[in-house]
Formats: sequence, C-alpha cells, structure tokens
Amino acid sequence: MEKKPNICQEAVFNKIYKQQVQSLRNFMFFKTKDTAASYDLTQEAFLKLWQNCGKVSPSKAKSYLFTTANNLFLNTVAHKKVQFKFRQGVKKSQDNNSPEFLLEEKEFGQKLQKALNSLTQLQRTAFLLSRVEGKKYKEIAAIYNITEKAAGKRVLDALEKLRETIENL
Amino acid sequence: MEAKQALKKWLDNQATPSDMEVLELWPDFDIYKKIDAHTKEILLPEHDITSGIKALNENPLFNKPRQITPAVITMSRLLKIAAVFVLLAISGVYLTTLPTNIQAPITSIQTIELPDSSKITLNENSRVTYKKYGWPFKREVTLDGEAYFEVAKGKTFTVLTPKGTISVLGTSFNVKIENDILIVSCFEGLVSVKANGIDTLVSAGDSFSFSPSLENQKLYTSKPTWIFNESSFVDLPLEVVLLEIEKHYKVTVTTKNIDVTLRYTGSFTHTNLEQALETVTLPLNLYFSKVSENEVQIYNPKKQ
Repeated sequence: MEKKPNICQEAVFNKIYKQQVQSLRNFMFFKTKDTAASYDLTQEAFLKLWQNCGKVSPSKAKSYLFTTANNLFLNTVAHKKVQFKFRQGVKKSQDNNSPEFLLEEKEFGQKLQKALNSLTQLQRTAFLLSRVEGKKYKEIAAIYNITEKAAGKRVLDALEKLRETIENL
Repeated sequence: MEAKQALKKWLDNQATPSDMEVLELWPDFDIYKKIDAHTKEILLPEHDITSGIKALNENPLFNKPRQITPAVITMSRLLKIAAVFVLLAISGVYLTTLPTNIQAPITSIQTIELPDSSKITLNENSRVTYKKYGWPFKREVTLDGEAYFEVAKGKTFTVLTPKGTISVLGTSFNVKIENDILIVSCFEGLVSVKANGIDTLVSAGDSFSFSPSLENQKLYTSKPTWIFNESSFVDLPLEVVLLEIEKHYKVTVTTKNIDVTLRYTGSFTHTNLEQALETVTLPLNLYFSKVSENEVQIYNPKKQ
C-alpha cells in the first residue's frame, strides 16, 4: 500500500524544505535586502505551506512557496534602509591588484550598491534572481506569473538602469 | 540592435559563441560584465536547514498532523463495548443455568420460598435443586427425599425425581421417595405423574404409591402431617407405625403378646416420645413401658 507523497507527511515536507528553502530565502533577501526579514518571510511561507498541506500537491509546492512569500512580503510595511553587502576583494586577478585597481573596485562596489537601491523592487529582484541565482527568464516568469518575454525585459531594463546610475554617479 | 539581442540572451545564460563574439566586440559590454561580476558577489544569508525545521516545529501554529489511528481507536472501542455485552450475555446465561442446591438438615424440616412465591417444605434429610435465576423461564425442581409443594399459579411446574416426573400448573402436593418408591399425594388441584412409563393423574385427596403395584390411598388432611412434625397412617399395619417411631426417636421398640398386623389409622407427634406412644397404643388398647433410655416395650396386659 504505497501512499502518494503528501506534504502533510513530515518526511515529504522536510524534503521540500531542504530543496527549496535556500532559493526562497534568496528571493526574499533580494526583495528585502534584509537577512532577518528574509528569514522570517521564508519561514512563514513554509508554515503556510504546512497549514495548507492538504490542498497543495508536492509538484506545486515550489510555486506555492514563492507566491506565498511574495504575498507575505507585499503585506510587510515600510522596509528598513538597508544595503547589500559584497564579499570583499574577490575576483581580483593576479596581475591586476594594484592599489589603484583595488580602490576602483571598491568604488564600483559602492556605486553598484547605490544603483541597486535605485531599482524598483521588482526590477532588483528579477535581476538578482537572474544574476545571483542564475535563474532563466522562464523561471522568473513562473515566479511572477508573467510571460518569459516580460521577465527578460525586466532583467535587461534592470541592467541598463544600473549602468546608467553607475555612470551618472 | 544585434548586440542588445545577444545581451538579452547572455543574461538568460543562453548566449551562443557567435553571440559572445558580438558582445566581446561591443564596448558597452565591459561595464555590463563588471556589474554582473560584482553583483554575483552579493553576500547571501545562509539558511540553516536543521535549525529552520526545528524553529518551524516549535511554532505553535505548526500543528503536527493528527495520528492516523482514529479508525483503529473507534474499532477497538467498539470491540470493548461488544466484549462487555458478550460478557453480560454469557454471565446471564450462566446465571440462569446456575443451580441452587438446598439440603434440609438431618433432624429438621426447612421451608424454601421460590422466586414466584411458590413454596417448598423440605422434610428431614431431603434435598432440592433448582435454577434460581432461570426460574422465570422454567419452573423445574429436582428432588431427592420428601417435600411438600405449594405451587403458585403460572407455567408448568415440574418436579424431577429419580423415580418419575411430576408436573402441575398450580396446586399443593407432596412427593416422597422412600425405599425406591415414589409416593405422590395431592392436596389441591390435579397432579400429573410420569413414572415407570405410566402417565397417571392424581386428583386432590389421593395419594399414589408408584411401587410395582400401583396403590391408591385416601388423604384425610389438608396438608401432609410431617409438616406439623407428625407422622400419619391410614389403615396400616402396626409394625409399620412402630418402625416409624423407631426412626424418628432413635429408639428400639420391642413388642410382647401383640399382633403386629393390627391395622392403625392416625398420627403421632415427632416432638414427644411418650405422647407419640400414647397416641398409637391407646386406640389399640395397648400399653407401653420404657425399658431403658433407648428401648421401649409395647405389650398387651390382657394377654399376659
């Protein structure tokens, strides 16, 4: 008597948690730019999944989590003024670590931070999902329930806006 | 325009080598590459799966699913209820078949009230067995010895004896088994006796001895005399009466100059030996004397 996997089964739920929690956490982090807030939203989304375990099939769990987390985020009011942090001094090539170069890199990082803050939440999140998470337009479109073309435009618009902002700083 | 299409594909990680050629020749691509490289260095919060699941489990809103055993619980509860009823039924059946055994003491009579207010008077050293809790379903008594029955009206009342079966509907009668002979005396109503393969009706005032030869005697009392601690005789030889006295008073009775075949009709008490001897000897013009503590002699003074 093999039972169909059901999210109400704790083992199934825990498996989904392991598979999806980090990308959901990143998604929330891109939106909030806040470590603690993204943690709370992620956990809350999984709690909602658990409470509705009977209504959501395991194959729909992922989209349910992202939609729920997105709705939870929209319900939160007034975000703190926070900025993304970058890993320090990475990506410096061996033959190009002059003080001038390092300074320039640092300056660029600061500019990028400001530029990211100037993006709309939707642009920023789509862009970060694409660049950091390596998600395809198709996946982003699924999260926002928009067309693949619209998702691609959102990412490209974000990139061009970033460039514009950085060059004007 | 070509570059922009390539850029779009590059952002989707779909850029072909020819797209890359176009992009590498495009001066603007440098800054895009730089933005991309820096963006990838964003510090992401690391989500601890173990502590995350633990935190969820500790959340009061994270209700554990109910155990999937309610069906089993109700099943076993049902079984418990069923078991109680089965036990009740079994104990009920057991109780209705549980025999009540009553034995009268060797030297006194005993009265038993049955559940339907029928009465049994047990003579000395007699025994009845009946089913107290099964009584409303079946009025049946097993008798050994002698007993007087006063039966309340109702269903058939049956007395089982080793020598025959007596059934009545509502009446008073006496049953005695002595020396393997069944004697049924009916004082009221009608009694049906099945003994030795014969069906006989004993009507009020009759006493039947179901010995090999069926004997019928008339009754002159409304109840058997032993109930009043008396022995009564109707036209019986004197020796039978004297044997009865010996039996009741545990004495030895000897005779002198007496015809023991004399016929006697009457009764004697069980409480006083002298009175008993008087009631037996006087009507026959006989005398008695106590030879010793346990011996009595009966004689005829005229026939010295």
